[in-house]
Amino acid sequence: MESNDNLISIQDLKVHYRSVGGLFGGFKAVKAVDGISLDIKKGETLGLVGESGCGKSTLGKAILRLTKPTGGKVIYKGKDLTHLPNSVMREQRKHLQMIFQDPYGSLNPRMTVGQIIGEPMRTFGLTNGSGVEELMETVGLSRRFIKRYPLEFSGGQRQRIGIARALAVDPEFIVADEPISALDVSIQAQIMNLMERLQAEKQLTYLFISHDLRAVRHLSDRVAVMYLGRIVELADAKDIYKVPLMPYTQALISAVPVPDPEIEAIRERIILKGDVPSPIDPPTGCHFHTRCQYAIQECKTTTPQLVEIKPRHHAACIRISPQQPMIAETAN
Amino acid sequence: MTNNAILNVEGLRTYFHTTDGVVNAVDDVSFELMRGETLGIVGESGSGKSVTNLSVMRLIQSPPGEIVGGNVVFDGIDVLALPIDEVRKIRGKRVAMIFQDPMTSLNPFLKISKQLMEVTQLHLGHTKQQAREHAIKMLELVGISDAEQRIDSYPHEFSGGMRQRVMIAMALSCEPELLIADEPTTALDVTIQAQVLEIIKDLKSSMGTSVILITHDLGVVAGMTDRVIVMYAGKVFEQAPTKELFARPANPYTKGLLKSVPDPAHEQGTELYQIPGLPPDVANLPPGCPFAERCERAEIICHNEFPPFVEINADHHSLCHFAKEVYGE
Repeated sequence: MESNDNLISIQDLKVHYRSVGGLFGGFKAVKAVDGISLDIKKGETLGLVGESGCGKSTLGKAILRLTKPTGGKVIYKGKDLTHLPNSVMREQRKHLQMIFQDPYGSLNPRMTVGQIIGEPMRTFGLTNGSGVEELMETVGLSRRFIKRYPLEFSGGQRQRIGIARALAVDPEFIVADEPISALDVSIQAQIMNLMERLQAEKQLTYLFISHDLRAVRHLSDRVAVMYLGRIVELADAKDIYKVPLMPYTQALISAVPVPDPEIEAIRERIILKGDVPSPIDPPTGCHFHTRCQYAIQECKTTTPQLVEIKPRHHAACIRISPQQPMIAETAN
Repeated sequence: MTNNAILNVEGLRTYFHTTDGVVNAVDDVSFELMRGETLGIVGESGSGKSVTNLSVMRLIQSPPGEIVGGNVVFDGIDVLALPIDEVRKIRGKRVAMIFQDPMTSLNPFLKISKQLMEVTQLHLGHTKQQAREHAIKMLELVGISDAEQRIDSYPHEFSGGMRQRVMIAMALSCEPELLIADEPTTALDVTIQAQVLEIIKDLKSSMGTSVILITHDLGVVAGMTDRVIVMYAGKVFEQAPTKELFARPANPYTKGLLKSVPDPAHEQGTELYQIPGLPPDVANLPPGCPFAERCERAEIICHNEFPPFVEINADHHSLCHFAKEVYGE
């Protein structure tokens, strides 16, 4: 099953939290990540999209073991990361890095930029920190700033510091969790271009987590769509945006406003009813059936599996199949 | 000012006195809003788009803020000259505002019912019974099911999208003539954003409300507005009908913004256009054009002289020494 071009292979990964629930104080499981299997290919950008609370950040953290998975495997270079002893896992961390959403909260305000970027290098005994200035230039920060503190920088510059810190250990794989969401439009473009340039220069593999479908479209080779702890669609970026198969993906893509008034004026939008249900008590069967215009009785009872509907295009919906990739309109 | 305008802002200046000096957050901003029209105000953080609208409603905290000049005329009333008691009668009744974070406008300790009823009891003189019925009707209007039961919930019992809908219900409960929506969907997921924008569109067409929509999302602007103002460093950089602005921008900043949004039709791998540099420090603006340092086509004059507000046609203006050339490209 594991082919050679996979850098990371996620198998039936689960992160279940216990939450106090119910009138009588019983425990309930929040299945933030509920049995996800996914291969991430070497050198690709895999986009991970979904609405807040769908578990996409938890999945990113669980892959890097920043959150402890409660089941399943994450295979990296033949090793299962979920069961490595802490000391061995620590050693792996120089290959596996993360960039965070909040450029304000993820940098220690009492450390200078030089210390922040140099720390991972020292931790892993990589250099004595002489590479810091070079790294700053790589991400577009002037060497002059090396003695400054995070507070003295703008959001975009801080995100560059966060990226430099992740690159300091020369990683292979980076989980970027909403790296541009907190930034202004003109700065978002700068950071996306920086990420693409670094990927080409250093052969990086990205898991790009975002709720911004336009940014994901721009950066990703493949896209995975998550809904309440499960992957519901997975395909090449160009295919999933052109012909989304699963009704949730269709609604999600149709909801993205297009920056063109001529298109917006004639476009029909799929408006979903209601909110994302609570992950504490998700709907039975297909989690999406409560908001799906195509749901039939069976959708409430059958959990759909991720099936290859078209070549390289997987979807989890019992109403479609390789023989019939579009949902046939039926009265229900 | 034509009779058809509901709001006329002229030469508005709002300054903030900070330890770094005086910040000209809004500096000589003028615009008109026609009845029934939706006007978009676009800009990055610090461009002055929110402060403009807070100034219009006299919601600037002083100190440190101060409206130092200009005129704001709402339906013939000079808002800046009005005693604050009179302004309060307009706010919430004839002009309503919704914000990015609904929790800033909802009291966490009061039931939704109480907060919704308060508005119409105060402004429309409703009795308790009338106010409650009206509140339920408003919640149903913004798509909250089981409104009759849920009206007695507290704000924390609602999700972000629901709270935003409660706030819209509250804002619209006196059928305001003007709705100012400041990033109303920024904190929401796309599917919920689509719902909320649809509600604003529907209510606009059924009540004929005029809307000012402040946003950084050019997609939202494209779908919702009739005209757009682009702000940068406290100034109006460009003003045009929405279709014209997207098709033929006459300002290099607008052009850069439009190009830097990923186009879903484009293949992956093509480099995204980026505006170089950072937004300026509004407390220390250079003498020339505030955008000159980041502008690809800036010439010597741009660094030395403040640009003129060039008329491209009656509806289209741009703050640029080379507006006509940019428009012609």
